[in-house]
Amino acid sequence: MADEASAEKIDPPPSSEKPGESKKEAPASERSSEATAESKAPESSGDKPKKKKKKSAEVAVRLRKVSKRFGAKIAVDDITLQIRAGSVFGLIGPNGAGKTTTFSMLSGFLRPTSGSLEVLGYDPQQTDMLRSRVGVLPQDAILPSIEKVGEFLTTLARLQMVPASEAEGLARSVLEEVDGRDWWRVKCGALSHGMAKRVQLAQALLGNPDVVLLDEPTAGLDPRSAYEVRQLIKKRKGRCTLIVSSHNLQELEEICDAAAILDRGRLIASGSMNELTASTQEVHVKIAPAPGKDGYRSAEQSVPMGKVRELPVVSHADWDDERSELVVHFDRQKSDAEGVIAHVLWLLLNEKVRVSGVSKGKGLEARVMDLTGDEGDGYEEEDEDD
Amino acid sequence: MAVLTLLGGVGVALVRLKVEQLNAGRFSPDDVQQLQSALLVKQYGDEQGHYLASVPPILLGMLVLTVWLSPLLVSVLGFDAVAGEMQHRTVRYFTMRTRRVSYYAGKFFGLWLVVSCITLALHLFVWTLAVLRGGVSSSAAFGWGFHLWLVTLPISAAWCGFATIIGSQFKSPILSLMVTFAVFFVLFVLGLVGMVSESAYWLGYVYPNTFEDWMLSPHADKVAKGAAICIAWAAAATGAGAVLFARKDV
Ligand SMILES: Nc1ncnc2c1ncn2[C@@H]1O[C@H](COP(=O)(O)OP(=O)(O)OP(=O)(O)O)[C@@H](O)[C@H]1O
Ligand SMILES: [Mg+2]
Repeated sequence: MADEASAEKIDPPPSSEKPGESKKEAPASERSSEATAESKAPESSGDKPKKKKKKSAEVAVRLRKVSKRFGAKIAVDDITLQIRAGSVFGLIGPNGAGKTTTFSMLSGFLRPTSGSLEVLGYDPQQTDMLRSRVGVLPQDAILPSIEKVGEFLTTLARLQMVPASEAEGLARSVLEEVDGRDWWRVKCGALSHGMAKRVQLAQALLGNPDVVLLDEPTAGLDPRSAYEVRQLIKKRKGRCTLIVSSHNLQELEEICDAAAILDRGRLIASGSMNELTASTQEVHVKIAPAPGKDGYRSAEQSVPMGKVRELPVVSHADWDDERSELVVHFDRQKSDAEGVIAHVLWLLLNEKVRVSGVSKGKGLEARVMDLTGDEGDGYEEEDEDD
Repeated sequence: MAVLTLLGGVGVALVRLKVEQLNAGRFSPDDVQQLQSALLVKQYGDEQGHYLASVPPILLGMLVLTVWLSPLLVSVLGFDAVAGEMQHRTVRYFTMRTRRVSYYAGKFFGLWLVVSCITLALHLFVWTLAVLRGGVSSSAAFGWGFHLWLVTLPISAAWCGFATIIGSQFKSPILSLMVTFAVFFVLFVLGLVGMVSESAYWLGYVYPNTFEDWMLSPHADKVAKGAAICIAWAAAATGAGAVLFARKDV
């Protein structure tokens, strides 16, 4: 959900996205947008030689009209996207949306069927240029079961051209970062799912890469480990570009500056987190039940819906029972969200309604629900391959 | 597997020694020598037969055995080198850190190294056995032994090249194993056809074991030619395999 109590912190919705426009219908070239993450390009990554060939320095990752087919199946369909250096970028979408396929193309595991990708200005398969500069946590790449965790990480460090004398130290430090120092001598095959995930995360962070791709880094982790992984990501914010996918949308809303929403291989929305969550012409007011003069009033009872609807800035208003929220819709031509909030709150406070939070637009979860899966759960297309 | 192969090889060597001891008891050493010469001439021709007559027979037997078993050993050791890491996408941890071509070449050389080491261990054991119990002089055992082990190297290189390119086409190790066996069997049949047919002799060139004879020749140029063809097969297979692997989705 959007940060309800801090509506004033949210920037006004940018006008780049036309209100009411159904993004699903827009052609890909229009749908694509530059992710406007707030963070600046990292200065700290300057200790590695800047091998930028071309292009503006701020774009770390660029996809141009990228498609990937597996036989008849279109896993990724004409995606154009840019991700700013130093930002934390979320890839969101239901199962089968194409997140992992996109990650795999960015990591050089898969070649796009058409279109082009660039990571730090290079084709992802230019391993020589990207070695140590890109770290990847693949979604389902199993660790070599007979190798010990320590040996495995040290080998990977050596493959990244870390001198033999430093490789072990680097491996140990990165394992420590994911809280796994006790597993140094444990065989990879003997790790639990969550432990293996953390070792996989450790190898993605090996050598402080400039771009880190994390495909569901917290899936299958216990709450504390997931929390720690989020902290770890936040700690790196601004120092490198992180691209993260997750089905935990609260988590993404918490850690990401910007995100893209995919559905059935297509990009259906992208932009900063503010754009994504506040772009609709809605204001949500969370209401608490109130003990009134005539006894207890439920939240719903306490809201004078008629009076709210009569407000000139309000086009219509609904009650969301599940969330105990008043949802106010307005016309962006006539008023902005701040004006609507002022009017509605003035009315509600005068009516002694207990307001417990206000937010502009929708939470990420609601937004994603709106945009994805009206026509099924993302698997339906399997039968209707075109 | 390696241990089994070793044990198998050693078992055969022991039987061979036993037979020789029995023979030595019944026939005079000269008879045995003559019989061997005749056999070698029949197998390798006049000149080469006489040239090889000075090789302790047990060492020659060991060579024939290891070359014969080479495709089996290579396929069993190599079928999952790449396929095993493709199956569970473990390969992804490596391909993002090293060039695909290097990864592939590493797999080929790794397999060749392991096969060569196992063969050497097997041969070493037999050399020692021959010296201790077979009355073979240590200079003959180690001199000829090493020479014959060198002969196995280009042949196993070719087999390793074939096994690696076949194995890297599949994500399922078991499929890789079956196809490797099938292809190796076809090569064996082609080699057989090449051996018996005068007009299709060139078919034998696809079967690396054909070149064992060449490399046992007293003529250096023929030895070099045999080795070169085997190495060329290995290089061609590895080159093609590496290019295919570099284009592959992993
Ligand atoms: N190797 C493959 N062969 C055939 N189809 C594939 C392959 N990999 C992915 N797909 C298909 O491509 C689509 C996208 O898959 P992908 O793994 O990218 O989804 P995802 O968004 O990562 O889903 P999840 O949230 O479940 O991880 C799916 O319909 C999937 O069936
Ligand atoms: Mg996935």
